[in-house]
Order: sequence, then structure tokens, then C-alpha cells
Amino acid sequence: MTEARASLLRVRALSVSYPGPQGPLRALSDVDLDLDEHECLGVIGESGCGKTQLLLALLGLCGSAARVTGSIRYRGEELLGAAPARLAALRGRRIAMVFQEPQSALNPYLRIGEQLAEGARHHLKLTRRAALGRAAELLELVQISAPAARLRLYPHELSGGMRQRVTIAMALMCEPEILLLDEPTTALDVTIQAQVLEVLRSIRARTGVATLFVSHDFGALATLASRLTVMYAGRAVEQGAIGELYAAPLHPYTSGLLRSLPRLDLPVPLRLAAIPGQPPDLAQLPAGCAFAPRCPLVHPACAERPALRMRQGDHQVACHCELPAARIGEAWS
Amino acid sequence: MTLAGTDTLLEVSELAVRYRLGTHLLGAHSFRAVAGVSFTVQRGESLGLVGESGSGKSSIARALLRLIPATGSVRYRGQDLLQVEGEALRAIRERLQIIFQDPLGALDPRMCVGELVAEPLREFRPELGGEARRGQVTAMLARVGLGSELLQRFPHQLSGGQAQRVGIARALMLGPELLICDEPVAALDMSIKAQVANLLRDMREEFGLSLLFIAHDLATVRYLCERVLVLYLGRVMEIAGREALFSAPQHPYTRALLAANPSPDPTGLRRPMTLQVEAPATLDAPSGCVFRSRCPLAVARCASEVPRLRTVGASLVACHRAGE
Ligand code: SF4
Ligand code: SF4
Repeated sequence: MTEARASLLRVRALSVSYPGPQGPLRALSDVDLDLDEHECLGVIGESGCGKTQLLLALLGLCGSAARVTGSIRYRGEELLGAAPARLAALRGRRIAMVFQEPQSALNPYLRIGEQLAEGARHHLKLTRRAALGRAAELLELVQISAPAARLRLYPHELSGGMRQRVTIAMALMCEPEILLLDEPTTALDVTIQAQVLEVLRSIRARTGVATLFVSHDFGALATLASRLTVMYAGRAVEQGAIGELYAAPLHPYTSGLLRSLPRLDLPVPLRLAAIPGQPPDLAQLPAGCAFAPRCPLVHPACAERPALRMRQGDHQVACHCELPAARIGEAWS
Repeated sequence: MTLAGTDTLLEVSELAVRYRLGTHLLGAHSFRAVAGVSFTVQRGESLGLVGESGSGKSSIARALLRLIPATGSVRYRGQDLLQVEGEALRAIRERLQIIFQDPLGALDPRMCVGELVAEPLREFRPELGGEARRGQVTAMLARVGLGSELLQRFPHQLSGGQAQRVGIARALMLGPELLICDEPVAALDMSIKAQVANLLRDMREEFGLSLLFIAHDLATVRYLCERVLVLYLGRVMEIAGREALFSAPQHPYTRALLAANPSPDPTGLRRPMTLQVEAPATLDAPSGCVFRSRCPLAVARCASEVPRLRTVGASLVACHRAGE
């Protein structure tokens, strides 16, 4: 197979399922994605769409009950089925993650300096002193003032936004090549969210760390990501350049979501164009398109599952309907 | 105060909420979560209460429901909600309902949907027969978009959106005048938020409800509310009509809130504006203007003098420099 671009991370046919009382729960089905050097790929979806499962699978953290198939290649090296020691060495060193709740990544009983230094001492074999020096540099990078003094604080002595910036600094301690962001601003107030997004933007500009940014917020994604993958019921249903995808979404789900959002920059609509129904039960996924029960454009062909395929340029869509974006939008009104 | 001819449903004056933080050698420690907040809700109106964490918006909802002690006065059709007891309180409760952010947490897990929606009727309309009650329950479920197949389900068998609809059905069962909505769509999934926002809008029209809509999401508030009150650290920063607040905000904090909202605009992909410093913990709220540690316009006067609400443009604003 010839590859047009050299992916840093190349995911193919990734599936994750868990045994359940009513048959396997298919959390992730046949996901393909590529993350290039330095780029920021956004992943958007609702709860249960598989976006969190994707991150867990990339880190090899789905747990022993999970059945994980497909392929995850990091610089050509297959990570699925790799030795646990190898995965542990990559985690934190090459692939680092920032979680939604900063508390979950921080030990309440350790000063933040020790927590920041720990990874660098372990992975980079730095002395304690050198690691603390690097920790102070990183606090500066995430725009925390008086870094040397902050290193001596405990997590509870910091505000929520500050804690999240500390976890970002922690993720960057070993100069990872891939930064995974799991809803990093969802738990924060909007003015604080703007600060954290700005910090992430400036870090990316300075370090060029490739970033996979998972969120359910179209607005937050627009500030960082250049490409976007939309997920629904465990599958990638649309993928493309973010500007194009927002301006001319080709999957009825993406189109419907974008039209249903209340917006500050548009006139107040008489009614929000809400998508009816709710996402399917992952233990009882329909055989065909999982969006069919909610889709205004459903037709007989949809009884068969649509594959993700190229439509225009780099824009991929998993849908049987061939209509242009404007017509898909009209179907919602 | 009853002004002849006005249609004020709720009149909140100088509402204050203090939380005690345990006792100290030198006396009780407490902090003011809400300090001197005043506003009104007119009949049929929808008023938005916006603010970030620590703004006091949820404390206000709790105080109105008497879930926490508060001072000041809250007049509901002329009676002080903070003082009434017994029958009078019960009568007000019937007309004033609430829906919560966490729809599941608000429902008794041991009761099925049918019982949950019937509960207000059992309590307030004991004279109704079982048949009539069941009829009303089914009709209400249909109105909020739930089929009767859900009657026997328990809360844990519902999706977030369904649970919130059950909460709305319960709140509407007695035909209230005022519905307090405490972040009703915040915890819902993207594709469900719009459904519930639309439902609230429909119900408001159908029942002639007034809404006190508490949220941090400005876009949803703009969709549902004609008037908006912006809170910061328990104080009112600005009150204005929807048009004025969103197109000509007067308070620096309102402006910062609006500017911080990232928009999914494909052409601009604009960067949200950021404020430099984070909010101080409510405990050590600064003297003078509570917003001054983050305000780009702060001057000496802001440290010494608390800004009072005054009219600037089409807004009521608490800022010394508004209108300059
Ligand atoms: S495949 Fe059919 S049902 Fe699925 S999104 Fe496309 S048109 Fe709708
Ligand atoms: S009173 Fe002063 S500190 Fe407060 S908002 Fe106005 S300018 Fe800023």
C-alpha cells in the first residue's frame, strides 16, 4: 500500500468491544485516522460516540475485558499487541495525555514540583535538580507566573484553570511527539477555557507537538484543530479540513449538529433545528447506517452500512447520500 | 411593594446568602456567595441569570426555594417567600417549580416514571381519582415528548434527555407560573440540548410560564431569554434586554464573557479573547469592585468604591467607567 503522507500515528480498522449481557458492546468500530507531524486533529462526538475509547486504545489502556482489533502504528511501529513495558515507555515519554478533570491527573498529597519532575526523572533520567529546573520552565510555558514559587504548592492551592495548565505542563515534561487532549477545557468556566485554549495554541506554535484534540465543542475545536473527525456510534462518519467541514458539512449528522447549535454570532432563530431521537444503544447497533433512525435523508440504500470514502479533495464521508452540503442542510429545516 | 398595573411576578431585593465555613477561635468564618442582588421577573417573561462558577447563580436558585438560608426579601405576588410558612408556603410551592442540571440525580431512583410524574398530583390534588390522575400523567408525558411505554421505566433506564423531560413533566404537572431552570441543558449531549431548549420554549408558550433561566451558556440564554442578568462573585454586574446585552454590552465583564466564547465560524475561526488573571477565591473578594483584579479598565477609584448599578445605554451596569 502506498502512503501519500508519512503519518506519525496511523490507525486502521481500529475496533474496541466489551462483553455485555445483551451481546458485545461495540464501543469503537473500524476507525481509520492519521495524525501527521505537528498537526492538530480534532475529534468531535457525543457521549458514547467512541472518542474516549479511541484515546484509551491509543494509550493501550482499554483494560483486559476489551477486545481490541485493527492496527495502531506509531512511526511505523505496531502498538496493538506490543509488550506492556514498551507501551508504558511510550506513554508519558512519546505520547502524553491531558484529561478533562485535572484532579484525576494530580496527586493531592504531592507538591506540584515533585509531580512535574517525576516523569522527567524517570523517562529522561534527569537529576532531581535538573527536573525541577525543567518543571519551572514548563510552568512558564503554560503562562504561570512566579513558577519557582508555584512548584512548592499543592494542587488544592491552585485554581481549576491553573491546575489544568499544570497538567498540560506535566504532559509536556518529556517533550512528547503526540499530545492527546481529552476535553481539556470542558470542566472550566468560559473565560478560563479561553485562557487554556490560548496556552495550548501558543505551546503548539512553539513546540509543534502533534495533537489529537477530543471535544464536544465545535467552537473550542475551531481554535486549535486544522482537520476534524466527526464520530457517531463508534464510527468516524466525516473527516476533513475543519473550515470546509463547518462551512459545508456533508454528513447529515454533522450538518444537523451544526444547525442545532445556538450561536452568538447569528440572529436568534425562531426555533433551534434540533436533531430528533437519540444516539443508539451500542449493544444493539442497527445493521445499516447507525444514524438512519434520526436522519431526514434516509433511503433504502441506508440499510447497508456506508463506508467512509472520499467525496471532495480530502473530505471523507460515510453516507449514501450524494447531495451537496446546502441540500443536506435544507433537509433539516 | 405593589405597583398598580404592573405585572411583576417575582421581586427579589437585596438578596444575600452567606455560607459558614466552620467556626474559628475568633468567631465564625463565612463568605458571601450572594451579596445584595435585586431583580424582578415579569409575568410571562424569561430572565436569564448568567455567570461562571462562584457567581452565586445556583445559590440564588437554592435561596428562592428555601433550600438554604438567605436574607433580603423575595416577593412572589406580594408575599415574602423567605418568611411565609405552612399553607401559604405550600401554595407558593405549587406555583413555583424547578428543574435541575442533573436530571437523574433529581429523580427518586425507586420510583418509576409514572409514579414520578404523578407525585405532585398525589401531594397537591389528593381529591383526584386514580383514573383522572393517570390520564393527566399520560397527557403530560405526551406533551413533553415521551411515549407511554416509558411509564414503567425507572430513572436508571432513561437517557439523560428522557430524564430531563420527566423532570420537566413533573415541574409542569401543577400548572406553575414560574419555572426556575438551573442549568437544565448543561449536562445533556450535544444533539439533545437543542431538543430540550426547544421543549422549554414550547412549554413556556403553551403554559404562559415565566422562566428564571440559570446558565453559563450564553448562546442558550440568548435563545431563551428576553432579559439577562450577569453575575460575578455574587454581585450583579449588568442587567439588560437581550438585544442590548448581546450587541452593546456595557460592563467589562460582560464583554469578556462574550469575547471568550469560541464560535464555530468557518470563515473567521477567530481566537477567543482572554482575560489575564483568574477570579480570586470568593473568600478574599477584593474591596471596591469585585471584578477589578481581572478588569482591563480598572482605576484607583475601583479599589475604594463599590460601583452601584446605574443606567448606561440600555443597560443597568455596576461599573464606574461604563459609558465613558
Ligand atoms: S447513510 Fe442514509 S441514513 Fe445514514 S446518514 Fe446517510 S442518508 Fe442518512
Ligand atoms: S468598576 Fe472599575 S474595576 Fe470594576 S468593572 Fe468598572 S472599570 Fe473595571
